[in-house]
Amino acid sequence: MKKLLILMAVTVASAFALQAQKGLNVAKVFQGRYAKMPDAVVTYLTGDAVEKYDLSLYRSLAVTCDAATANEVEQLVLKDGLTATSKETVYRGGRLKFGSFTLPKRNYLNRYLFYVNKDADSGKNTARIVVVYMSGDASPEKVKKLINTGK
Amino acid sequence: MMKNEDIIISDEQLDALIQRYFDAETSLEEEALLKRAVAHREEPRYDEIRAVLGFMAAKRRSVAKKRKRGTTVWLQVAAVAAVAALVVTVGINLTHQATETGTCYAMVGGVRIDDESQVLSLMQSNLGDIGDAASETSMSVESQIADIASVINEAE
Repeated sequence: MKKLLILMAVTVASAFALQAQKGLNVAKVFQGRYAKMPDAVVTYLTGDAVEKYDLSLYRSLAVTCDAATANEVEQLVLKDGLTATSKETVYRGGRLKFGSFTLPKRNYLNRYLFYVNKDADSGKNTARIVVVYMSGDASPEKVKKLINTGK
Repeated sequence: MMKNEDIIISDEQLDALIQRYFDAETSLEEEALLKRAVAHREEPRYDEIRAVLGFMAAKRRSVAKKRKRGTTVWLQVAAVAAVAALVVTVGINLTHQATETGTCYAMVGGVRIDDESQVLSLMQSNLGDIGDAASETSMSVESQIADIASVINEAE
């Protein structure tokens, strides 16, 4: 009985990280047609790989796509951004160039969403976009440090 | 006519009540009355009804016990089934992609990469893009504040 309870506690606690992402509009971005585009780069990390960053989950999509697709992804990000407890957005040429959103906690996990459109002000018909979603215990300061170490 | 503390019923009334009982026409109150009435009758002609009433009471007690025991067992089975279903559902959801130590992979142009160092490198690349954009934003804000400050200073 004790072993069963421990097993239940571990599986339920681990599932929280996955559950925290569900319900987000950007979930489609990581699994849907955007992730299957020819030059899409999708990453998915949980557990040991991201534990050192105090994260439970890290997902990203980086892809070069046409402006219409970039706009679709932008809209999905902004929909989720509506519920953000804190946000930072930069627009160029009417397009979202950079978005940083701290989403409401879910299952006791902090959640962060980032968006970059490198070609928002280039006037090109294509755009290189990056979407990153992270959840875990990491504070906003820790996440900021993590982002800066990537530079 | 027999009397006791609470039952006053004539022989004729009792006989009629017994007949109605065997015809399944008596109410529960009438059955209770019948039981109390025959309990104090010593005539042999009431032996049969006394035996039947005694048997029926024993049967009712036995059915009530079985029903209660059945309900308790059913609840226990339902609780165990619910716990098992929860564990299986969460376990399937979790183990669908996860390894013992977590999940770490990337898809590059449809090709799966499981090498952790390569995946982390891609992660760093993403974060680098975010960091560059964030810096640009920060510089842009600082630059705008500086512009405003210089205008204010000029006005003064």
